[in-house]
Amino acid sequence: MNLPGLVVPVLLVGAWELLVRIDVLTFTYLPPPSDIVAAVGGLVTDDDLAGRVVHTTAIALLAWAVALAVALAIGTAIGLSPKTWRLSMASIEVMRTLPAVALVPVVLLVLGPTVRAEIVVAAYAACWPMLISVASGLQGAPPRLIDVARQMRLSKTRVVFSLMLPAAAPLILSGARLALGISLIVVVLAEMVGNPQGLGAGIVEMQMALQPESMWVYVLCVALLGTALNAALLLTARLSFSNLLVKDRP
Amino acid sequence: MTEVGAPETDLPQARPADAVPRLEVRDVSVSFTVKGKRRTILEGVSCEIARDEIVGIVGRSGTGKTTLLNLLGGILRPSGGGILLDGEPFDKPVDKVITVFQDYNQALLPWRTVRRNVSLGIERRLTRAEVTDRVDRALEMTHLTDNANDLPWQLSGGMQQRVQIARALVMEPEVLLLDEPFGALDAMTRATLQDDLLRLQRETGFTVVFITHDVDEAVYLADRVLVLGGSPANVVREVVSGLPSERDQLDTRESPLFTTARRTLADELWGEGR
Repeated sequence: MNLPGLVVPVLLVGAWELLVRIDVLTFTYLPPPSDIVAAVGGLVTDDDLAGRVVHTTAIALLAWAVALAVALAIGTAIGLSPKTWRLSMASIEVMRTLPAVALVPVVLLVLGPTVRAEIVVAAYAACWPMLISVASGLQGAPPRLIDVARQMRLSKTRVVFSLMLPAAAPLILSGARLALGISLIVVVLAEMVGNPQGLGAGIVEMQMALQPESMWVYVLCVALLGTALNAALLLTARLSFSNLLVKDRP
Repeated sequence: MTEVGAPETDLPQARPADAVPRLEVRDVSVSFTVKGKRRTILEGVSCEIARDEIVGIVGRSGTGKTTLLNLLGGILRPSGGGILLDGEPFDKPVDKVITVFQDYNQALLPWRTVRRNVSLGIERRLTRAEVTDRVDRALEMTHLTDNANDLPWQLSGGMQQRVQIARALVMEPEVLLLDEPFGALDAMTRATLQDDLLRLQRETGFTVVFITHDVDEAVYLADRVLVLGGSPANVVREVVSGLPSERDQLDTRESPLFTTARRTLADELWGEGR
């Protein structure tokens, strides 16, 4: 735990509380932190805060899983064949620079305000960083490993699964982390403008209801969720693939 | 094309070759096309390597030593001519000929333990008991038994190179090819590994072909040293030290046979060109 790292946030929250209380910050809809904390209880009992968290988490993870599967398959195909790389990289660069945020209304219109729409648009957005890290991780595999594989007459499948993908693991993990963050952002956005469920919908509903404290609770829930998901991913990766992620390796 | 240099009269002659040499390089040429330009690395190279022989290859950097070794390992196909193993032509990797690379940190899998690195080539081909058995033997021969469960980066450079040698040994090769195997190691470690290699060769009787940039190492390890030179390269000189097979880091290096062979090689490599 990085305890000194907590000093800055604590100071900032303290300053916020103080400045609102002594009327330096006088916005009608800017509550002090203490009021936000006080609003949590009401939301848990009356607005199903837990249900919203579960919904958003589940959809974000589902979209992320879809993105991982698609990106691993396509990224492997691109990373293994220089021909496919040359053929597809230009299109990928164009498609990934198109902000997924702009596609949210489009997808919602096509698929309607559904869970499916949330998953499709979030998976689409999350796919790119993962795809690129898989492809470039495979392409950058040490050529010497390929010599070793040929020398040992390993099958093509084994070269990919036992040598190249493990060698690319650190890069793939960072792609997966980026993908998870993006998945959560896009899911929340889709809930704000389309499917009226989860934390995103909660933020908008509380805004409409002019309840800034409750709105802030949902905003902070999204922030905490993002941090928690990232930490959980890192922990899982370290526990399951510790050998693959050794830092000291040359 | 460069003529193959006649052996020096004051040096011992190579012993007569076996009926069928372990490895035979027959009029081999290698060319690459780089940016539309055709470049010939080796041209008309021929040599024979006998069973249980230890052959060193020296030459200035960029002459094509590694190219020649890759040909012997079946990693590279010749543009012309052929390579024969026990009289049979081959042009792809075979289990009987295994290469040990200089860059052990690139050639080992950093996420696998020593044991799992060593078993890489046989783990899907043999039963579990056979794999364990062979790996145990290879680890014992390379003095790595106590490090079986370590990861490569937890070991010293010399030990990592021994892991690579153990990984070659489990394949039970007839020929071990080593590309500047000890080049990245300090002098002490290097001497130890040289003696380890000689001991392993005596125990198992495999043929050894190694590249080195170190003239002393070439003479100390090898029965015969081939000097590669020219562009395109060929074997320009063959030096046979005539040293007895039992070698010692101190005595051997002071023996007249050693210093004569060493001088001949050094003259060939640097002397006359300067």
